[in-house]
Amino acid sequence: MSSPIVSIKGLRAGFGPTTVLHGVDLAVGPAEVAVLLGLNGAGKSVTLRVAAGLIPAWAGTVRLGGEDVTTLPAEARVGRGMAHVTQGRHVFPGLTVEENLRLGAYTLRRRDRSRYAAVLDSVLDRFPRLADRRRQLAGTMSGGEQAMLAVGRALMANPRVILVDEPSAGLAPAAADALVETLRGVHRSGVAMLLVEQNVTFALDLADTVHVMRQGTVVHSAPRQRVDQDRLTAELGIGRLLKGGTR
Amino acid sequence: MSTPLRRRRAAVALFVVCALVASACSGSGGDQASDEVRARDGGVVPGDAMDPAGGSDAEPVDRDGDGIADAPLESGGGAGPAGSGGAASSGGGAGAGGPGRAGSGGGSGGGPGGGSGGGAIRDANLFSGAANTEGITDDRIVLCGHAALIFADAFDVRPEDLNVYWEAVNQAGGVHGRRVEVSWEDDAYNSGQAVQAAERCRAKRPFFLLGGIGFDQIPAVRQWAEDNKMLYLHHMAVEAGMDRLRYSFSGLPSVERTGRAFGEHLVARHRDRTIGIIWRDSENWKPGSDAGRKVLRDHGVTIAVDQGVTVNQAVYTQQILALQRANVDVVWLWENALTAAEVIQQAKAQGYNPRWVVFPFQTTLDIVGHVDIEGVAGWSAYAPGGYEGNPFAEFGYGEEIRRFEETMARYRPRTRTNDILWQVWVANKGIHDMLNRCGRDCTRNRLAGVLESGLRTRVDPACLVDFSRPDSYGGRLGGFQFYVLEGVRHRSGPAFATSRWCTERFL
Amino acid sequence: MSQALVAGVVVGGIYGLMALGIVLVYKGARVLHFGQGEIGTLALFVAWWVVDERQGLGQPWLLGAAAAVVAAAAVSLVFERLVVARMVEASRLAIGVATVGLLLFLFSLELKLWGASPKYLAPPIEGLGPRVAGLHVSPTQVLALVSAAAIGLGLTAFLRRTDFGLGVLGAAQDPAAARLVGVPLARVSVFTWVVAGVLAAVAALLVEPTIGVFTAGFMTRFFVFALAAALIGGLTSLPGAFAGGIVVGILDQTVQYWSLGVPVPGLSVLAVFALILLVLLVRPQGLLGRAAA
Ligand SMILES: Nc1ncnc2c1ncn2[C@@H]1O[C@H](COP(=O)(O)OP(=O)(O)OP(=O)(O)O)[C@@H](O)[C@H]1O
Ligand SMILES: [Mg+2]
Repeated sequence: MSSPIVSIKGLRAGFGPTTVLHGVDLAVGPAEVAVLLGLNGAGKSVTLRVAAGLIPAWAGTVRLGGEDVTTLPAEARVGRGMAHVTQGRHVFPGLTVEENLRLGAYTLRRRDRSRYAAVLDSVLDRFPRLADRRRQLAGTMSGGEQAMLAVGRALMANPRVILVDEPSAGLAPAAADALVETLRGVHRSGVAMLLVEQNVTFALDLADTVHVMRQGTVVHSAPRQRVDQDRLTAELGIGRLLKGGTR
Repeated sequence: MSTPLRRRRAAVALFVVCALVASACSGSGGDQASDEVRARDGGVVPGDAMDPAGGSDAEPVDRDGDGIADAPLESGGGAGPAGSGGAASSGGGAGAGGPGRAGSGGGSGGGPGGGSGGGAIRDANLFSGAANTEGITDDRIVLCGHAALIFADAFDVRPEDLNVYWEAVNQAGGVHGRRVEVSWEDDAYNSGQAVQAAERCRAKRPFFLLGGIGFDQIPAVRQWAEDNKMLYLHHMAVEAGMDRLRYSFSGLPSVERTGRAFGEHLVARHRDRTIGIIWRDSENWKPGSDAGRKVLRDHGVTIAVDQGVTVNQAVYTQQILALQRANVDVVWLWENALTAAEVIQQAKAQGYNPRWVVFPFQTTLDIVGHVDIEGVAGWSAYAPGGYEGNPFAEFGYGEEIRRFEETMARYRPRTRTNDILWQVWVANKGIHDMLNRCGRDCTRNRLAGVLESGLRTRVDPACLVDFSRPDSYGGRLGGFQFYVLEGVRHRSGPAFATSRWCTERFL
Repeated sequence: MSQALVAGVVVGGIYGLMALGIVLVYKGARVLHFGQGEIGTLALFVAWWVVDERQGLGQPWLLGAAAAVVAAAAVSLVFERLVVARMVEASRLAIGVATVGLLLFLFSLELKLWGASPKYLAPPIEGLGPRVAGLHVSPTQVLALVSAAAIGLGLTAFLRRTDFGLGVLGAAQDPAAARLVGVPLARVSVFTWVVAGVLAAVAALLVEPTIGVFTAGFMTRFFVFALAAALIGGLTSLPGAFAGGIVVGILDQTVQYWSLGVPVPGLSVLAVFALILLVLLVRPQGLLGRAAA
């Protein structure tokens, strides 16, 4: 594997007296989809938020394309190519779809405004639903549309890697399927992805690499084809093992 | 970050509104009366306080019994334009203005006003036991007052400046050998906080409580004083409810009487002009404008515009337009100093410049910058150096201003004297007189008894205080006389000059 | 009647100007800024001190105004850095309470530095001004109205059209999401509070000549009416704040006009509160507010 785009080593973090991450190690290779699985409360979202800079790391390092970004604030990591779609799809409800997307390109536009139009076109191509609703207030859109907007907004930064936290949560199956397809498309366009997902079928469908978390550490990592299925079953408490993938 | 004081202050800002009264007189407890303070070597020395026989020929009381304030006329021989009649303004321009010799004669030497009118003093029956002598010991008298200290600086007064009179008295030996120690608590020009200020005062166990200016604070504190059995000497307040009070006293005219005096002054001076009234529509103000309006009506004067305004209204456009539409050329503004300034400024911006009749505070002139203003007041005018050429020499007016300025210069060389400090000075003289009269064995009951027994006294340069009248609520209300002040150009800038002195009836 | 209308528009300009700052801080920080008025008063004192010939430096009005704006910006900056910036995790209500603290502090400071004595600052443009429907509308009042409208529209355009402006709006709606797209929250916060401070200074400078006198607490007196204007305008709409100001002004002056001589004090204030209630019931997003904003 060539040098990873995101590399997390010995990451410790928490809240007040509580330690949540007890030394997380994981890496995401270029153009790779890494999936992070684990039970509720395992620390998946916290891992993503520390990686994105929303929560400070107590120890360990976060590297982005080789650069140590552990102490950089979130707003600085975006400009370096890391986007984060948080759990719960936080769009700006009082702004229109287009304004949301434009804010997504906040750093891009500062660096190179001329590329904005092209990036916007590509995102709108990817999400035709958004193209139809450019002037609608984001807060008035459906859950599925907001999920698309959240991903679309993250893509507006033209990221090298995108951290996505449970994009399918709360979506009807059809909408979830559409989202999987979109994410697959994003991946194909060369963007690396660190994906947290409860829906294991969905996750394994996309994954190149699988990481399993338990109580703040990564307990199992493997390429999708070589995932220890018994281990997965045990860690996730899933009775019926899902077959790992026919793509 | 906020001390209680700050919080109190801010509360005012927010809700009561600074606008309220620029409360002018932050200080001045009480009342005017008495003399007994004479200059000697630049200092102030209390005279032989009790002078029961005193001043027989200076007895300023109204001889002819018609209630007209001719009292002052008696004591002086000079060119006193004060008393009778309507043509009072003769001295207007000269009062503070012109050059001339310092006042001399009548007032300066002679002085003390009459004795008590009602013969022997009977102690009141308000206090018993230790309460009767609280706040007074062999060597000290402790007093405490509530006042709108937040507005004290409004008039460039610091609380400690209010006590210069007593510092001088104390240095000269005190009152019957007792030091008089006065402290002030901020009432923020607000009735609720005035009661709290009174509570804080009570904690200091004063001999009696002083109440500074504020039509709204005093009625609240009066009730508190009743409930807490606290002797209370206060500034102007409404008469409403007074018949139920036993512990509160004032040597100043009531709000109603003041309103009536404004009404009479308007009739006497302006009856042929078009008159309008703008009055504060609130419980403790309205009785004054009502009384004044009645005088105007009774004399057949039509009131072209008669508008209530709410507290802290800030924008007076509609009222001003109404005055303008009716071509009103004399406006009686029954409001506090700050609001008066606002109304006058806003009228100016409409090109509307009538004659304004207001409470005559220097601050109003300072802001408005012109002198087409006059007013009726319980105090005489002050302008720096105003003793020069003043036409009321027989009241010791110039002498007293000189004494005031010299004392201030000595004790507070950096404080600029102004009308508020002057009013407080004169009020303190009155209190001094009362304490003197109360004697060496003064108690709370004795002091109240001095008033209840019908004290009549006049202390230069204040007006007669008369607790013997049938309408004095049994010796609780002693002020019935007024001054007229008019805007003039003084070398210090626009200033008020006294044009009538100690007048009870203007008609 | 037309006089009352004209007066209402003029007075409404006062409320509108002050409402702009309230709305800006609400938009940018989701906080009701109770210190907004008093920052204006402090600025006014600074202007007075620079301009007044007897007790101040005797400099021209423009210099005083510039000093006022700088002072307001500085006070706001210090407040933002020392208080707001340290309350990132605090509830919005707590920050609102902190602004009350600012109000109290400024009020005390004004008293301490300049006393409570009423002050007068000459208007930027002297003179009676044209007569409209029998009412002299002073040049300053015209300037105030034009400024309020221009600031309302201009700021709205800035917030909607520029990336930074959108960032300000986005930051208020979801601070974490704003960080994740690269919006520098610290700068957004400084911008919001400092510009609000500048608006407070401008409002105070343009309002004072209409009232004619000021003391400590001066602008805070209008806070309730300004808040009414902001609410009626939708609390998040800057042009709405201006429009709301005009509506409140006209209502206030018309009711005063019709109730001249009616022996019930404060009818116009009642009317304004009734209108607020009505708006909150019928159109909670305000006249120009957007439903989801
Ligand atoms: N802001 C916070 N303050 C305190 N504890 C937190 C906070 N956020 C998360 N935690 C705790 O950290 C632990 C890990 O939370 P995290 O959100 O990472 O779980 P998760 O693996 O994403 O679970 P889920 O699948 O339910 O989203 C949990 O015990 C959670 O309660
Ligand atoms: Mg999670």
